[in-house]
Amino acid sequence: MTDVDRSRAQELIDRARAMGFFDHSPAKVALLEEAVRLADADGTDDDLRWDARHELVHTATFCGFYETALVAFAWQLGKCDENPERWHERDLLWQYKWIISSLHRFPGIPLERIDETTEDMARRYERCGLNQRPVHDVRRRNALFTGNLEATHEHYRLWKATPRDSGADCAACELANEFDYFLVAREQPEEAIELAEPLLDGRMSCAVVPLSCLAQVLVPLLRLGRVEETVAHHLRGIGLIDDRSRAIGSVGDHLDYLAITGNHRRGIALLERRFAWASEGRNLSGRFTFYLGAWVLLSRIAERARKPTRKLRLPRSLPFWREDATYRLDELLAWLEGELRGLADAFDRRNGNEWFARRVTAARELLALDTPISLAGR
Amino acid sequence: MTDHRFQIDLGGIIDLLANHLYSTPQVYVRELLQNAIDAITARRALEPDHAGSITIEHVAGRDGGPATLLFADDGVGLTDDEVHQFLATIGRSSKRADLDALRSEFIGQFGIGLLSCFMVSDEIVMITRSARDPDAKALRFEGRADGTYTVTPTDLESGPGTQVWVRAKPAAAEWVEADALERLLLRFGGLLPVPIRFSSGGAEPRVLNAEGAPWRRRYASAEEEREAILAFGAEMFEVDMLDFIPLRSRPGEVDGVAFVLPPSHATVTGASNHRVYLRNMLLSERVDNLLPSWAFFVKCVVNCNGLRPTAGRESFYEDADLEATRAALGKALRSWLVRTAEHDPARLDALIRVHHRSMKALAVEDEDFYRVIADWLPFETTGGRIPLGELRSILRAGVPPGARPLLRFTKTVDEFRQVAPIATSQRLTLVNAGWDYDEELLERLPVIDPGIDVEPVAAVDLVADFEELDPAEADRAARLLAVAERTLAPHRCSAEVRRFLPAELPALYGIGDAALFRRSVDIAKEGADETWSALMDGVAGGPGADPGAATLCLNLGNPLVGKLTRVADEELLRRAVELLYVQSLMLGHHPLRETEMTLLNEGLLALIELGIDARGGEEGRP
Repeated sequence: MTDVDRSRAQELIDRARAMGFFDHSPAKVALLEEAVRLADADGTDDDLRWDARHELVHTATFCGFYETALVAFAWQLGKCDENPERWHERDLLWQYKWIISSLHRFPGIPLERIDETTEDMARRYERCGLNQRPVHDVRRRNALFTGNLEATHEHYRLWKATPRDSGADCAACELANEFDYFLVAREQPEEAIELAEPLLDGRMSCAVVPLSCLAQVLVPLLRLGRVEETVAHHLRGIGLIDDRSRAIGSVGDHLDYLAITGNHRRGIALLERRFAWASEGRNLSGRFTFYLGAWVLLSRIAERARKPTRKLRLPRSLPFWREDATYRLDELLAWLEGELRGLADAFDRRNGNEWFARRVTAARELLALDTPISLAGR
Repeated sequence: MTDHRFQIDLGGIIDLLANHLYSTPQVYVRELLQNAIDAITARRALEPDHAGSITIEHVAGRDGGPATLLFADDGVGLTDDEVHQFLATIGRSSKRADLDALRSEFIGQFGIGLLSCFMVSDEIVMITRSARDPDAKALRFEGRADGTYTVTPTDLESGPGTQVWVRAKPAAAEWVEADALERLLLRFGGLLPVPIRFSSGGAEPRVLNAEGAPWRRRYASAEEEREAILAFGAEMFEVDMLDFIPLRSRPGEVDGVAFVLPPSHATVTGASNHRVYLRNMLLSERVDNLLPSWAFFVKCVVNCNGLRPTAGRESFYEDADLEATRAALGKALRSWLVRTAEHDPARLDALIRVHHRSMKALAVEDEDFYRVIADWLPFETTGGRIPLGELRSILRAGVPPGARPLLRFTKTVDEFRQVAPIATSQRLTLVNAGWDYDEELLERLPVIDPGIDVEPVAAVDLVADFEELDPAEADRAARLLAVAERTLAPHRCSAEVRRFLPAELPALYGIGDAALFRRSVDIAKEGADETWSALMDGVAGGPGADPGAATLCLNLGNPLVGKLTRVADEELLRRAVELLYVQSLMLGHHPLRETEMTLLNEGLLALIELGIDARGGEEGRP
């Protein structure tokens, strides 16, 4: 029976590879997860177990299944340490930064653990003769996501002071991260937007960028009164999301935008289409951002609705799912508030601050904005 | 004689054009062609019968030094005032934002085009003579990369038009070689309606672009057209294309063809790079935002007259016009598919066999399209991969007339794997909707076919659907169930006893998504250090984490399980349950956790021993 498992595992890896390097669909993740399971069940061929995981770490990360990537990566790292002659550490370093910069998304992981792992990453980069630029980059991102601004500024300074070498992250990603830093940590939207211009106008891109920037930039541009620019960014951003569930947080940003600009029908269509990514996925920070956007949109709709109920196609897996697809808006909002509170508490407890609670407050403040834009026919 | 009517610093704009605007220096060829074609168009406004032509001469450098190029057109030329106007306007701009405005008028575009040559040269000479004034003298402009320049009248006698000499700088030699230049001219200018004559090494000039766009030519027959267009596609993309679809759109003023990619390129999503011409000049070979996202089964070659290019002229502004164009092109592709479904089903079948993912992506977005194309879309089922149309007839044939057929599907590939054997033994046709779009499509099937019901199933559901035991049986199985519950609890698995088909199957392991993930964590933790183990626990736990349900369902219809209900020895019963558990894990192709490996190893030995004690022990008695 083992031989069957082994050849089937290989077949699944081949099938996944045939889907192409840029395919990061849940279907490809499923193929590779199955390949890992079969290769493990067979248990005789470590190369196969490694290959399946190598593909899986990449695909799952870009698909936004960070937990799947983490588990597969942990196995690889263990193999590396067990037999460094056979499995090369250098082959894992590019992925290591993805893994570490996703850790903050899981409130079950204490900050000390994130630090320990980042130390380990730093040591391995040094051992392979690479500089610490990517390490400062992930430290900065983790610090920012966990609301530690002081550390964020410090790691930004160190990152800036370390030149790019062959281990540095892709230039488009670095710029997107710098944009995020200016926007969120420094609260300098104009500088951030100017910095991101090559991403926003399409000169620079990669597998993940500028999807997130195009979403993040919308509300700041509205606040700056640069209303016209938002339309193209919104449309392009929505187009890029495609089937990448990794973008669930960006969907939340687009929901904010559609709420504030009065495009409620579009907002609802987007919410319905992507709700399951948020509610069923394990990416909790993505879920948080999506729920914030959903809350803003439904609040705005509730403010102006004549009826207390609304038809919505929501995922069956929700505890309050209804066959007739009719939901009371106040109940839905209360449920979202409960979920948001639960998530914010969990993150803030872990982070030892009120960063996520403040994000909830900031979402409430968004409702003060009202900038109607017609997207009809666009 | 040096003319300094204006003191102008060209340094800023040259730096921008030469170093920051373009992704590759080779676009200098495009910029010069653009200037030439603009000049010829302008001259036609004065002299409607003027045919116009563009001549390029390549002169190899001496002793292997860099080559010199001459770009000449017989267009409108520039007057003295216009030369100074170009210097004045362009000298004031050094920001990217200014370029759009400059590009929008003749002189500004001319200046940008000319100065772009500094990407490949440190020195440019231009001689121009205007067609507007029969007595105009020729002017000579000499510019250097440091921003200094001179403008002088010259006695050179020639007809109206402009000549540009570019001497390649050593670092840019590769863009100026004769072969490279010829390729670039053809690439950028292949569709231009004006002949491009090219000569090198003193040879007779040849016209490079005699044929024009293949989709605008007239053909004697449809076969001839097909052959010519597919040959064109193969040449453009170096891939033999499966088919082609003519494209036309009023928004954006687009004409061209979409090539249907062959199977080897079928499943690669991500950016599909289209080759796009703007007013017959190649804009880019990497435009990725021209078609709707579902249309990843084609690669296009198109010309657009009505879209706004970005300042670097390598893509389009994502504006309302582009959006309208995208929608119109999507509609053109879609209506071709719908027409082909009606008139040439075999052709569509060949296409969908390769590109069903793309078709499904569109069907998810567009209900009417789904309705038209539904029967062709393939799905993986317990009966193999079959088109939805066939699947619908199979299901219909399976129910009495008047009854509503039910299509059952699993939402994930894992579930399909678990449930398929049971479904097969129960003669149910089950669809694997774990692949992209399948779940969404099947959930919407009743909308386009109200005569059918659909229902997602999971292994856990099927177990729940299994026959409940009658009270007497339940009584008989109670002890087995209790021992099984106790035995399996440490493995995070609950136990049930039911009756199900096939009877040969003693037990079935059912597991949900969350529990499956938990198993993968357990296995990864076995080789991980403390830090990584903690990380994985942190990921698997946390708020809202579902501990996940795994169930071992014992089949009372199986003779072995029937016997187990009559076994009194608890130790034997426990060992038997453990082995059934491990066996059903292996049947489901689940890798075993260390604890389960131990069960397997110890359990086998223990059972053998129990067997020997029970029998061999007696026989061996003296």
